[in-house]
Amino acid sequence: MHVLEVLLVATLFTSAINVAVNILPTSDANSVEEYDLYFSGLEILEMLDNWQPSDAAVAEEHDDSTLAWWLATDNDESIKQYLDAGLSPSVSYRLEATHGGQTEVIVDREVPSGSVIQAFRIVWADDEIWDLNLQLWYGYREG
Amino acid sequence: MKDNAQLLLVSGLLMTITIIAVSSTITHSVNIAAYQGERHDLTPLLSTIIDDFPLALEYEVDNAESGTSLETSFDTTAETFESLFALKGYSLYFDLTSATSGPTTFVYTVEISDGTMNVILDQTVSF
Repeated sequence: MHVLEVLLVATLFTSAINVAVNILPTSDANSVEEYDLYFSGLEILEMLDNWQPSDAAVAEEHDDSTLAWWLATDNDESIKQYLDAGLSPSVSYRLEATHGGQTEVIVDREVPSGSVIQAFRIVWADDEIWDLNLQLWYGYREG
Repeated sequence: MKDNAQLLLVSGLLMTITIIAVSSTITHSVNIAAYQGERHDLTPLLSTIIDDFPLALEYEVDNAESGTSLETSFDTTAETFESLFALKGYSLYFDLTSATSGPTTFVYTVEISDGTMNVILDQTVSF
């Protein structure tokens, strides 16, 4: 008779603990949106780097990279137009480049105080290594 | 007295099994939650290593001071890339297998990791 009582108590205890475990909050779960934003930044810069200029002479001079071409010729406006068109309208960004010991802002937008993701690309352009930092966030995109 | 002792033994055994089962479940849940929603993809970075590193290496070799060995030029370029990737949170390591001149040829291995995913590439560059 007592054996049944012990089994009943043990079963109830096990069930209660399992229910509690199942509803535990996963506070350390990662944000899918942040990963999407990060990889959209990596990939859009990669595509521009791998995009071969249509002019053969330009392509040869800049190692078949439109990104290297635009960086070497300070064509910030084209980079801005490309990123504006390629990124989701709900995403805003700021692009900085560090090369030869100096940092320059290619697309200047005010970075908000909230969540900002930083993607990057290392590019060889104009006989220098360029470290591009693309800050991305969800929000209104200024002109 | 004997019955009570047996009951105590059985209940203790059941409780021990319960605690082990619950601990395992909690550990499993925590491990899954730690990686939930993560995305690992090194593809966007590989093109930089495959395409841009050789360009930087060629420039370093062409502009090195007279007497500089190919190994030194390789190490200099590799360290620059490794430092930049380390600042971004990636582990990058270049391991030179051989460097020969006429034409200049480097054979090396690249290993990149984001802490979870690891990629190793064998590369040969000539210029």
